[in-house]
Amino acid sequence: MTTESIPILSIIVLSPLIGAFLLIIQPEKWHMQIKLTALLFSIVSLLGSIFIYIFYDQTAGGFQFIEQIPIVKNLGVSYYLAADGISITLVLLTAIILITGLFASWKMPFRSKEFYILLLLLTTGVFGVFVSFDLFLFFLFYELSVLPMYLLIGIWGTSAKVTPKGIFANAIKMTGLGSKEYGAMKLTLYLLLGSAFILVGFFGLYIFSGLHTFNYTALEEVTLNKGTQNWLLILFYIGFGTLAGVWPIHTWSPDGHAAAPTAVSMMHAGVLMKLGAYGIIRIGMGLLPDAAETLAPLIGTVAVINIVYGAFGAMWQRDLKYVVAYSSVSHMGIVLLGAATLNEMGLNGAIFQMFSHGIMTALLFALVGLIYEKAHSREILKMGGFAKSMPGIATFFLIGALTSLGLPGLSGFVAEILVFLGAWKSPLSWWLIPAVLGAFITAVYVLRVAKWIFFGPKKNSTPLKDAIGYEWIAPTVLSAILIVLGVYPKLLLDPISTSIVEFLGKFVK
Amino acid sequence: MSLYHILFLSFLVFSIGLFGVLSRRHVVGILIGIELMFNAANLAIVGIAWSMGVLTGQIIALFGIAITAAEVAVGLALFLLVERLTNTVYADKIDTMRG
Amino acid sequence: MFATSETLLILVILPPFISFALNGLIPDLRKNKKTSSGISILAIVISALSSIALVVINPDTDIVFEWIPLTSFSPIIFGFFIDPIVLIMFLIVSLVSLAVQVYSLDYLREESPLSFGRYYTFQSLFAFSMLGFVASLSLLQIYIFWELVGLCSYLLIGFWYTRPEASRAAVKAFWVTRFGDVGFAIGMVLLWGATGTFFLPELFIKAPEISNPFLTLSLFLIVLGAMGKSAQFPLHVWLPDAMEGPTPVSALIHAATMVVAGIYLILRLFPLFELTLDPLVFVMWIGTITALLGACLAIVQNDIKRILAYSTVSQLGYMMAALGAGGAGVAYFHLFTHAFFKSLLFLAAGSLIHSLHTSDIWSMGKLAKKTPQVTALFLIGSLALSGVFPFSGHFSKDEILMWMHVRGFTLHFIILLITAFITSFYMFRAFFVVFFGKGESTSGQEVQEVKTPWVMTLPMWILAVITIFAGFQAGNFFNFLGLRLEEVHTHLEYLPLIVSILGIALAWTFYQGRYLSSKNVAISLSPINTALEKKFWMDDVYLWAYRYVLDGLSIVCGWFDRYLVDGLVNFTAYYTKRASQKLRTIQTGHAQDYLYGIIIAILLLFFLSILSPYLSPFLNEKENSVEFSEQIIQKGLQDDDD
Repeated sequence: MTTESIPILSIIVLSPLIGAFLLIIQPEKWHMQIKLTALLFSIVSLLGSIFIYIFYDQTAGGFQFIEQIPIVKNLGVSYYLAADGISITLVLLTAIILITGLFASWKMPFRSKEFYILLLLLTTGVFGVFVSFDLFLFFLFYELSVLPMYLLIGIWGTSAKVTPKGIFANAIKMTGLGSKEYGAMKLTLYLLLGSAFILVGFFGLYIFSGLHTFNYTALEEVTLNKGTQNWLLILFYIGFGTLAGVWPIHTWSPDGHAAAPTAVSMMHAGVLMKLGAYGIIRIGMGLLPDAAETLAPLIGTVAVINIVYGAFGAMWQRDLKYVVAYSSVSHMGIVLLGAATLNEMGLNGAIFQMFSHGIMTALLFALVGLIYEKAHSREILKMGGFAKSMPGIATFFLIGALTSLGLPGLSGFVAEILVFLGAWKSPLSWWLIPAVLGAFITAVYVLRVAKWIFFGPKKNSTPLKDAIGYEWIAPTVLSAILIVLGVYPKLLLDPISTSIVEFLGKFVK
Repeated sequence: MSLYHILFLSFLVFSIGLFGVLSRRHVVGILIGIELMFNAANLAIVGIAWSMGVLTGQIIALFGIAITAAEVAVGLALFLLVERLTNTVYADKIDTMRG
Repeated sequence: MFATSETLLILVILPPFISFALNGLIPDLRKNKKTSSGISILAIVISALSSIALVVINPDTDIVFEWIPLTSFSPIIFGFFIDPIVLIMFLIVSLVSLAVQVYSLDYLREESPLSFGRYYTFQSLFAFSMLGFVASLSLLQIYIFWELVGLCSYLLIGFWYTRPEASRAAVKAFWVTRFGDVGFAIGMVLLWGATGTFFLPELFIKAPEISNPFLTLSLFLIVLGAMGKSAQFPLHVWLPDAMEGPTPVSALIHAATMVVAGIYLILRLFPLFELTLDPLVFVMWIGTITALLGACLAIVQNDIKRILAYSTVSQLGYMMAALGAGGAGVAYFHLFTHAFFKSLLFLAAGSLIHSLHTSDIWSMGKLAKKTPQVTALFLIGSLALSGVFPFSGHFSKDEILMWMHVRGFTLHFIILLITAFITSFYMFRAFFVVFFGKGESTSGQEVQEVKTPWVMTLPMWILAVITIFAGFQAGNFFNFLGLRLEEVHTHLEYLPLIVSILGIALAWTFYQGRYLSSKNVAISLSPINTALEKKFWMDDVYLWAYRYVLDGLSIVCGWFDRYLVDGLVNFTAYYTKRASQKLRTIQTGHAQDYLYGIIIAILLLFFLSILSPYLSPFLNEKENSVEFSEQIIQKGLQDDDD
């Protein structure tokens, strides 16, 4: 049996979906079996992801593992799955985060069946987006990955206590800021607004290309005129940018992440935000290369704002989950800055940062979840001296924090330095300076938070315990990945680089 | 007598019926208005069919009359129910559709 | 022969890493005091022996490998190599690490097994990072290890993390050095941008092609990084606070090895600095200012570790000044001697602090009789630091001063000479007060016994022996580096020694002979005294910048985000809701009202359909549509006529 004969991408994408259907027919009270079913089907996806990572032929490059079945011939819609180095990286990321997320949310106090069903549905959508190369299918999966979020946050989320101050305090209070319903609603509305832009963009491509097809590879061949390209790219930039947390349409992300349950925060900040950046790079820049060159200065400058602004925003927060969420906004800026450089280092760095940040932020959210479980608080200033009673969590948190500030030896550094190099080689080389300063500001707030929570004398007398048993799985696996990739980045950079070089072929005129 | 005359009469009856539907407070009045409008329509259909020299219009009108009878029955039954539920027969007192 | 030297190179760098990995990954090893320290010390012993072997062989070898693959640019290559400069640093790092790790066995005796293991894990990581830093063949790799030693410094300063001062000092050290590293990172990227490589040999070949202003700018930025790491004015503020860490850590990281990384970096990049002189002049000024500043601040300190910390700042200033004056060799020689005598001083101070549980010099006193051994060791260190013959510090400091004098930097020479005077004064102030003082603020209780087991004294004696004899090896040292020791004979040759002895004499007058009262002098010079005690308000400036600039900007951003960016969103949502509340009142619930609406709409549509032919020119439709409508109407009229 050769690797071509297995529909491996379908297996990866549909395995969670099948798992979800199997969960539907199981009775609510079989708690253990429900969890094991969810885990089993996630492991199938993980194995599939590892399979495509190993068997992707780097010397050949291009799209591999192609599956193409026409669905509606007249409209040019087909079931078209494929993977290249970028997709493989992100599929692997999704699978890892899904499994660690399951362990991080292993103890689901109520309605666990529905929770896992929705989580698996969401994951199917995410996998689907990363490997589908038919825009119709892409959009279908995209919506599938966004919509379950509303229920996941609205039902299983946690509300934070936010006390607004200042002249608008009352107005802010009326909005219900901090509550899980507010977060869920805000997130959903934002993302649906974003997908409206994307849909219009897709139809634009469909019509203006004159091909009447949604096929990515066919659309790649077409060169639209520049004005049309610009408008379409702006549509995609706003649409996907909403999901990627682009300033100033990022404010759903802190509220949404803070309200979400642990596994969902991990999935969302770890993978879904990458989905937005992936859309901008793959659809926006890949199909509209001329516009990408024209608008790169705009995208990059906004990305730089993201980096610095997100870092300062995180510094202002006193709720642990909000800090991590704002740091995501800052780090997504690095991804988009890398994308905007449109050169090899920058784009390699952008994709590597997607992976690295996905793992890192998942690690941090998993730890925040653990801390919340042990200390029943997320307010940083009420914590202190936790390192004495939970040394393991403190160690892993520090690893996450140090990755966040770009410490060499951890994967964040590789991504950041590549983006810095790319930024300097890009047309607007001044981007480098705010980007590096952003890393410094990150160091300030991240270490400050670590100090407030873990170091110093113990503040309250409630007995705290370190993580136990299965709780170790998520932090250990995620930290190990961060360290391995930091020391030996070639593991991922080889496949990424193969595809990026091909991708950049579009821009060399 | 030309088609104009018939259509004018139909228009008048229809307008009177419409006025009744819009302005009567009592539900039975409204029902009568509806009947008038219905019959105006029948009249127009019959008149046009007559002017074209075909019988189709009269068949339609006969169907219409039969349906009107059924409609009156259903309408009155509905009004009885409304009266029972809301204790009123005046249309402006019933505002359960209010936003 | 070639293969063996490569093996030896690996044997220097890798064992500490293996020790770190073993201790870090296997909790059972870490939780046992014997295994954790045993593995770590074994690793550093292997490193030290291999370093010595390499120094004897003095080979020329390197290991190169690809780290990041790139196709449109040259891939990023890493590697380790050996040259005399590297070898000497290997020797310093591995020997001082070994001494400190052995010493720590007793110093941290009372720690729980867990934190004991943590200490040795970090120590191994530090040894690995520092050795890796030294032998790096690529600028990016230098940066990587540079940050890693910074991390170890952060972790070890904050070793007693439950103490708020320690955790604050750790974070402060990281922030300040990281601020310098912003410069380093940008400068590094700029250099890469100009040459397309991080690989040092290639960089040196391509560097002359870089335009001069650009090279100057990048080197200035790199110097900023070096200033942060080597605690140069104005980024020196973290080093005194770093004394919150365990004393052996201060001896190793904050005296002998990590803090000299900045000097080593400039030394390593000296071929670049020689191409453009402005950064070197800047370095010389910064070094000179730092030397004087550090020495002045050391006078008013009451904490023995802080005195030593400021003296480190000051001595690092000497090295920087020498580098700036072009004296890479003499700077490196001072680095070499300083590493040994300063760690000796720290360890000696540490053995006192360990027994007495205080680091306030006024709480000590009369220790000379109780512990003659430590007294002798501390004296050796102090004499070396003060630059008294025949101790090593005399030779290296002399070299620096003579270099400045001969090269014609008279102003710098004078400042550094004054600094030498102050140095011997504050050092012997500490010495006399600690060992011969009366123990003035001990609040009545007698000074306790000073326990010095052999694990503590043996490392110190080894360092002391090196301190005594290293000075005479100056000639060999320079030969090894391939330089020539300049024999200078001027009428100022004995001036530094005289100045040092004068300083000691003054300290004796104040604190031992008590012919002069330090308090009276302090009162009469009160403005200067206040400035010194406030550390020239440097810390306050940084605190201000932290509170009002960083936090202020964060408040601005946070406020902007919540009330303007988010406010706009919430505003939209809120008014959508309000508008819907207003709009719903038109739904009266009366069926007849809705009917009115329907009728009006129908009538409107009706009239529109009638009027549309006449409106069409305004609606921008095709003109023939009017004709078309007219045709229909006419046709209808014709039918009626029938």
